[in-house]
Amino acid sequence: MAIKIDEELLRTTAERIYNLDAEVYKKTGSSLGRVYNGDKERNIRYIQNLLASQNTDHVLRDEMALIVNMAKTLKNVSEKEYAHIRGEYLAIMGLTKSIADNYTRVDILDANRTGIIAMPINKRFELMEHKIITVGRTHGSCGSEIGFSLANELNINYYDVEIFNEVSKRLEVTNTKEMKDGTLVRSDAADTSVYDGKAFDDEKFSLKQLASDFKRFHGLPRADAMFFNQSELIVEMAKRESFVIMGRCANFILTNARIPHISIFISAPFEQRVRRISNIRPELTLSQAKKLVKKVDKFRADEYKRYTGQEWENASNFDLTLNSANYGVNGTVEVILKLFDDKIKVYNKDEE
Amino acid sequence: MSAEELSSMPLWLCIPFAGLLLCIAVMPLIKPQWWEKHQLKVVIAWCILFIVPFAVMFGAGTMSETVLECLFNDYLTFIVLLFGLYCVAGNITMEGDLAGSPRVNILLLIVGTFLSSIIGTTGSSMLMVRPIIKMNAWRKNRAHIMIFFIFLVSNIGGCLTPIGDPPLLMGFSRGVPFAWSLNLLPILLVNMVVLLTIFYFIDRKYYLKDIASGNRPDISKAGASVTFKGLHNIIFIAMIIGAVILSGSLPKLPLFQNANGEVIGIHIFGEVSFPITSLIEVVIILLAAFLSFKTTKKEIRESNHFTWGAIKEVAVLFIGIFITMQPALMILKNVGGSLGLSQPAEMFWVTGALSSFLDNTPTYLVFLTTAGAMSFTSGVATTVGMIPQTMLMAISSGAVFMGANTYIGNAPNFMVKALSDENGVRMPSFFGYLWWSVRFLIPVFFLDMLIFFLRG
Repeated sequence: MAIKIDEELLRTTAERIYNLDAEVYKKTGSSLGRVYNGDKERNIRYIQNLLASQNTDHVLRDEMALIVNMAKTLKNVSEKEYAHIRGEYLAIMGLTKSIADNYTRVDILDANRTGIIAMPINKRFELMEHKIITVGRTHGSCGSEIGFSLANELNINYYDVEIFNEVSKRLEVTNTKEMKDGTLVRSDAADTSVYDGKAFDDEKFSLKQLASDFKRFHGLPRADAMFFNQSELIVEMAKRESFVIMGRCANFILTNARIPHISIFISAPFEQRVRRISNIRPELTLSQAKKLVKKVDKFRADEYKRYTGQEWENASNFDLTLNSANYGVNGTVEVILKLFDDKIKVYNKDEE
Repeated sequence: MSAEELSSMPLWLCIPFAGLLLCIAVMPLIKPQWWEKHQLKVVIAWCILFIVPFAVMFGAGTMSETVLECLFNDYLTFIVLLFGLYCVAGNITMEGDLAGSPRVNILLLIVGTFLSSIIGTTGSSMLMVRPIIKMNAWRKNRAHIMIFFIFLVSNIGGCLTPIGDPPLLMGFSRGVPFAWSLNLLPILLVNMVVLLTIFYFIDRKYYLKDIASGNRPDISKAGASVTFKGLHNIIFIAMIIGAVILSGSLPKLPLFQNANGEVIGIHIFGEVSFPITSLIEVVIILLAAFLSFKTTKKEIRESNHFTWGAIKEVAVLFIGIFITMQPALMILKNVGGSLGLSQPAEMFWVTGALSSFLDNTPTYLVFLTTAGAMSFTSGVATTVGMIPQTMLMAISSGAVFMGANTYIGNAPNFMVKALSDENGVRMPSFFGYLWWSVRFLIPVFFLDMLIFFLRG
């Protein structure tokens, strides 16, 4: 049975809760104690999900209690100000109760994705300020070529290793050997992305390097610091331009940031991919090509799992999963474009 | 109280103590707002429910002596020490942008654990708790960090010197050499390795969960910096530590003893007196707290979100705990020696189990006295008798380590919980915390027993 959510009520209630936390936190004058840290939109979405879910009202109640506890410790606050905070808290609790009494939940739609993935493509383009397409791919499936061609067809930017280089510059990582060995090396041609599957952490560091990295990366593992910076960069870019981006857990980053995008996963049968890699890299034997494909896929899968908690090749993480062996590079690009066909024409026309 | 009165202490007089513990455990779950508002009234009610029947059974005079003895000689020094360290540590703030991650948290826990033996579990907890909360502010799942903080920094870490934990200070004042507790280093290291390994995997799981939820630390600036403000308060912490050491060593000096060799004190009531040495300790600590406030800018306290809420809550609850647990301590004193305990492993578990709920200092003293009375001919010479090395290690470890089992097992436990609650960390309930200690601490203590205490 389809059930209806009062989205607007959820949204306004979530905003009120977030704003109350912000108000109380601001009055403490301290950097401790904030319940809802970080990105505002993400937090509001999180609160909305708590409100919408039948099983998490105790979590929201506990979090409201934390806010009220903090409010009670406020000094130099007038009676009027405290009464306002208290009044707002009671009003919100009343609202949450009425939501719990009145709402019902759609049984299959993932509340976390509502508004982005579940809506029709034409609605999606209306919402999207910029055209953003994320492409995940298995190694050797021509994913990078397809992404590059897609970017050309849509006349938007294409990003792959540039993201990594920009982040490295921000973090002042200047070890050129590391950049060469530990990252994708992209040639001028469409898809000759060659990857030796060597992750950062495979590198052996001296104690001095470890100490220097500890300070540079705020105590975080290097790879995690890179990921956090990368995430920030991708979100920044998504707010100002259209692009196709390869991998980088971009679909997950943009979903968490509530930025509308299209996510695509490209794969092909293992044997096909191995054959292609051994054709591209004649110096590798078939056995070596097999090992390389498995190694790169495992690296990507481990990275994806680490930063998203999801299985990399799971189709439910993407809008579209395609077998590039069925269509080839051009055919796959055509299939993708066909999905957006009418609206892309209209969109491009609007842009002109 | 006379030996006869002690032996006639009925078990039912422990009901107010059990009732108060139950309230502390359950009320925050079922009626949190009501409990917060009426804590003091509930504590007073349970105290009256103990005091009145006690007075009826043993007379108003004995009752008054018992309560005043508890207040002046147990509670006052306890709360003043806690208050002093809370104030001074609250005037030191760490500003920085190290991001809480498993490796950073493990580093902080290691530093805090060893610091506990230098400045005491309470001092170390008060000093480290805000930095660790700050560094992990970007994360959603943080309760486990504070739980392991309580395990290691607030309890286990205090085992290496008499300053680390009050029971060891009592041992020192009864003849255990100052450096003796360094014998507990191997046990401390085993516990640290096991617990930190467990912590690493738990923290890593939650850290990755936080990342997968989209939480991100602010590391936009290349390179981390850590600065401390109010560091001059280290002097006042040293002052407080000095006061604690003096409280253990001054009573031995003839200057502070009367003709009978008892410590000179201010007469309070009946046989109750407040030792001059304790008064000196209290005055020094309060002076340190006062000077700390006078010499530190208000902005530093604001940056730490310093409030009186946490110390008030501890003061209110523990006055009730101290008063209502008197019958339990008296019964323990009476029957401790006849429990038939003769092996280190037995002493370890019984001292520990009781320290989990009762004040670990008198519990330690009861079993130290029991062991001393067993007529051993070799071991550590104390004023209560000769105690074999392993036996003393077992009693000391039990008293110090197992204070970590519950929120009320040791002074800083509840303080860390209250501070965490006040600063956005959703700590588990009393039983929720107990479940953590059953799952992770008890097996570690079992390992300690197997490695260290099965031989005599």
